[in-house]
Amino acid sequence: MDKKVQLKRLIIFLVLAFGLAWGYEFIFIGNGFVWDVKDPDSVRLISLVSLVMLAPAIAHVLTRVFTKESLKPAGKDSMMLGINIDNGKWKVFLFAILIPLAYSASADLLLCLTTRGLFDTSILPDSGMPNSMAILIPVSAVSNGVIISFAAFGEEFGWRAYMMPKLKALMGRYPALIVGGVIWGLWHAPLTCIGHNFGTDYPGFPYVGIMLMCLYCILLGGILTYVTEKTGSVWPAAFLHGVNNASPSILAAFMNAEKLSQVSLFKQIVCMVIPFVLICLILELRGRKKLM
Amino acid sequence: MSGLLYKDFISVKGKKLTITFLVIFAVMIAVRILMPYIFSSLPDADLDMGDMMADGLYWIIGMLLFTMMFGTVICSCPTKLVEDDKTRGRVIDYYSSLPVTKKQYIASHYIFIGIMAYVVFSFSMIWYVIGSSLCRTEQIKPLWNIAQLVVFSFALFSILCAAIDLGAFISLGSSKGKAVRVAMIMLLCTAILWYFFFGDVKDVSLEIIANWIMAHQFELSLVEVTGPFIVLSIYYLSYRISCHFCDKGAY
Repeated sequence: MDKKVQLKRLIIFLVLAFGLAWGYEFIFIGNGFVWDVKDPDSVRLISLVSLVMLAPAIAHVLTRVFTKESLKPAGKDSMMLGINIDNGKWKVFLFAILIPLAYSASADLLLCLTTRGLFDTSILPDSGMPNSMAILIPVSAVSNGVIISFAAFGEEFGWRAYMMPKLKALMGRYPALIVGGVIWGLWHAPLTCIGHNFGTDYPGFPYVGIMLMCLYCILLGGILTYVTEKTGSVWPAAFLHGVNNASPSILAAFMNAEKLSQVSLFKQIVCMVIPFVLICLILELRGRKKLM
Repeated sequence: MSGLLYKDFISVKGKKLTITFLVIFAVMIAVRILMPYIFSSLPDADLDMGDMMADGLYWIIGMLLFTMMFGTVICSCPTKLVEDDKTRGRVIDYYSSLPVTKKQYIASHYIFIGIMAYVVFSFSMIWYVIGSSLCRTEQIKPLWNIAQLVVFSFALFSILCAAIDLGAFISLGSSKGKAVRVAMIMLLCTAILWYFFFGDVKDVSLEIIANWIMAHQFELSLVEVTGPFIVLSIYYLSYRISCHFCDKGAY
């Protein structure tokens, strides 16, 4: 298809996705909303603000309507809503649901191994629960992440099902992964500026936070794009994103909150990035092997 | 497979259903936004009660009705899907004329109903998020938790019903499938009637239910976490049984 048409559609999509999301967020920010999990008023509104995740999905549908692009649910150049579990594709679905458990637990393990006193087995018993109850954390994350994944679906339906195919057609796979990640990271910028993800108390606030969010989105975007490409469907990416957002690490239950607050953001990021990079490399090498 | 999903969408009159679904959702959101203004503009209205109603109760009742209405639609899907294929002749003849395997054909029905349940539940959750976030009346907040639990339970119940229904319709055929459905409904009605006749109804009130929920947080969390796995396992088991019976030519 003509690259100019693709570019035009992509620009319309981005204007809508950013316009809808930022417009919605600025209504709250303008009224003094800050992302503070300790403030009851903020907590009450956090889930309402989180509905902004549906903006890319709305932008996707509107762009297709405005540009008279096909609205077919599945197949080539489609909205990627079909589900196909044949030819072993169900394994990709399973991988998508379980991989967040692996990388988040690995990141926490690295953090615990490199920080003395962070791992504390007395936290759960102190709050009246046996340590074995920690097993419910990943189980609950998978259950909630898959069933209540509409918000994650909202983002993935926009980014993975519309933006990434367009970017890949325009600039090739690897540049698309980086540019797509940066766009996705910048889309989060207003929320990063009010403390989402990294809080407000770190050196270089908020610019460092925005850059870190872009890095995080490039890495996570790599895995999400992989599962979308493998299945031709947006669903595994939505489930992966949902489970990822549900904080599935079992070690989180054993982390001393006071010690954790003393760990530098840089160290936390390094521990988080290492498993991501390893997974991306493994997926990429596996993909290349199959091509060869 | 995608074609089969689209066929199922047509079979259940998906376009009409989607439009109805979205219109009801949009109307309720509009009501939620406008309700406080309507109540505050009434000169003689009991504003405390009005505020309370506008702040949550209407919204909660609406959410429950919405979920139950479309949950019931999900429960009725198996009949429509199988009956629609039967109008095209024997089902076995129908799918042997398609470029898909028996398993793909059966899987498409299960996936379709799964997607429907997901969509209904997601919209109910959006409803819950908007409603509970805007709720400022402290007395109503526990009711939101109950309502969320009811919606969650009803979504699982719909999937469970669909699993039994679809399994019965595919494995035993339409007439026996209908008999299974009638038996299920009778069983449910009997249980409800039994509770009303012999159960301790006079002590049941919203306050007691709310207190019970607060006192059994842990057990409820456990059910909330494990419930989806149990129900989805039954759903998958129903799919495997349907495939098994289909292989034996029962369909």
